Amino acid sequence: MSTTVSPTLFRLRSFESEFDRLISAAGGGLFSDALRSEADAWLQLGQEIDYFPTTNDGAWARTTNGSWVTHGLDRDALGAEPLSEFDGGLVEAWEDLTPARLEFLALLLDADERAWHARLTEVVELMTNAVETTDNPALGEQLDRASWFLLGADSQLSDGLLPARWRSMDLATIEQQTEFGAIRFAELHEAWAVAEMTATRLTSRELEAELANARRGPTVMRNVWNRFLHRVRAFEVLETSTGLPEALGSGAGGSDARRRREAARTERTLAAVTKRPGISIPELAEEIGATRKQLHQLLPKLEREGMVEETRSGGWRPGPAGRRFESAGPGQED
Amino acid sequence: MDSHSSRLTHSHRRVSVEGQNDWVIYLNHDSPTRLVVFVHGFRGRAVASWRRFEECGLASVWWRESDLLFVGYDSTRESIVGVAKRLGHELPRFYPNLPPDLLQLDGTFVRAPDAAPYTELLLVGHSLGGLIVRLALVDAAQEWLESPGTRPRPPLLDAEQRLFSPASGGFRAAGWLGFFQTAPTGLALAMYLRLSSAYTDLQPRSPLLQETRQRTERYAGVHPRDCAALRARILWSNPDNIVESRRYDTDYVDHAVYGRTHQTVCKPDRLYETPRIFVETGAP
Repeated sequence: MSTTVSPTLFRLRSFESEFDRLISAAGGGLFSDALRSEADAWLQLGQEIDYFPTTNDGAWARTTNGSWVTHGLDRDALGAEPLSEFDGGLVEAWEDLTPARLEFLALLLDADERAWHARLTEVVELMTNAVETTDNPALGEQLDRASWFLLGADSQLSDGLLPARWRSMDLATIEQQTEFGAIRFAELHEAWAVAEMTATRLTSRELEAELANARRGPTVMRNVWNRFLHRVRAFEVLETSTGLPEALGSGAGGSDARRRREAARTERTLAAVTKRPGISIPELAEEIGATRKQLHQLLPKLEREGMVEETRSGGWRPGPAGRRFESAGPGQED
Repeated sequence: MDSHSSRLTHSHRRVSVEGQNDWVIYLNHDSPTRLVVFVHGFRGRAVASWRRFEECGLASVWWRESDLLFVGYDSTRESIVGVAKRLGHELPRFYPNLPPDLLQLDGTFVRAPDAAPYTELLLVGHSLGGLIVRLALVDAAQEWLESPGTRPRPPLLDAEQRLFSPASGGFRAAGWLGFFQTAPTGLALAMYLRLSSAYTDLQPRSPLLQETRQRTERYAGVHPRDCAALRARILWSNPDNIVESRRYDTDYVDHAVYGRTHQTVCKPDRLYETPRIFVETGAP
């Protein structure tokens, strides 16, 4: 083996080694292709600004579907000190791909429908068990299994990172670029809402003390806690509304997970109707990621509970009981 | 050496530590004399949490004489004690002698592999990372002092500490949720992580915080020469809504920087050189 002292060639070897590791961890499929395209884009850009040597024997083949990764590449965006910007951006892009995020993106992009649903169901059940069981010796392991769900969508990338931009914008990009994206994200948001409600419900007894602290603290924390309180109250409205679980069609025969999903959908419906009084069913379906059929079943039942009412133009707005929900919203508590 | 080294003074590579891949070393292109070790805070990233420290070599000779080791860990999963133990266990691999294999990849060297050992070690911690640094140091001191004559003095005790808003007094009650505001699952994540050991350990006056303080003050007080490394130099952000701003009795006089938040106090840029100067000199 020959010995060469060259920082730029060393950078290239380090770059190849790191992307090889990430592409390998991505497990094949669309996610691996996207990472290969991203690596190719970093390489091209790095060679243009002399960060890497132009001689390279390990370049990645550009993939056929790489345009959505490299779209909008512009070296001028690297500013007056392109080497430093590039170097910092590259490391930031690598660090963004934590194990949780790698698993999240791999599932989102490459899991088939059955596997995707199985992981979503598993994680909601895991998290419910995690908070319902005290002194749970398996908690760490359970949170590991759930970490893709809790932490995987949390990108800390700067906005301007060009080749990695597809990841920082993934909620929109993947939704637009993949046929299943919109459905998958709607399901994900629903599961997040369920997890949040589960956590909120089980810690609500501690809420008053936390609120007392937060009210003495900075405004930003009051807003966080107000949002928290909003969710608690929403859940309490759902729980205490006479006959609501039955009205939702999930009585004794329904599973706990199903009841929670339906409660989450109800909460999102009420929040959307409160935010946009007069909203139509098609608009509502799009906003909360539900089907029109689900809403045609749900809204009349909520109307009987007095939580929503139909407008003359066929839209929906909060009803008398729904306005109780509205009064628990953010900004109402101070 | 090629012409690029004058424009970018370091090259980086990821190093594997105990089977993990979240430590990164920035290797000087010339012969360095010191190792600066950075330990990030809660929900931080090994390098990104210290963004632009890696560029300080462009502005200062001091940084061109330093290798930079960025320590990564999963703060939402790992225990504070576990990370501190790993830091104490792994650092002797890098200081005072860097393993020569870190300097080359596939036969290409970042610099000539004949450098002398480092003569200085700086441990720089932010927030939770500050507590981890303190714990690693006091563990090293205790193990050495309680085994007289049987162990060599740990190289870790050569270090100087620079802490940015350390969490050694614990997190403020409302501060905890501040970390989760931007996460899509923010509140759920915050509530579930209340079950984690880090949350318990970071409550003000938790057993871990109290023991770390008592042990540090005892060893630094009784063995001021041998345990000088346990005395921290601290720079607080002002305002700081995340951590309780408490120093140990044996620390040096602390400083505060106005108009910087808990998250930004440790990030230098062209208009805010205080972090760079603080690490170099121990004073803002």
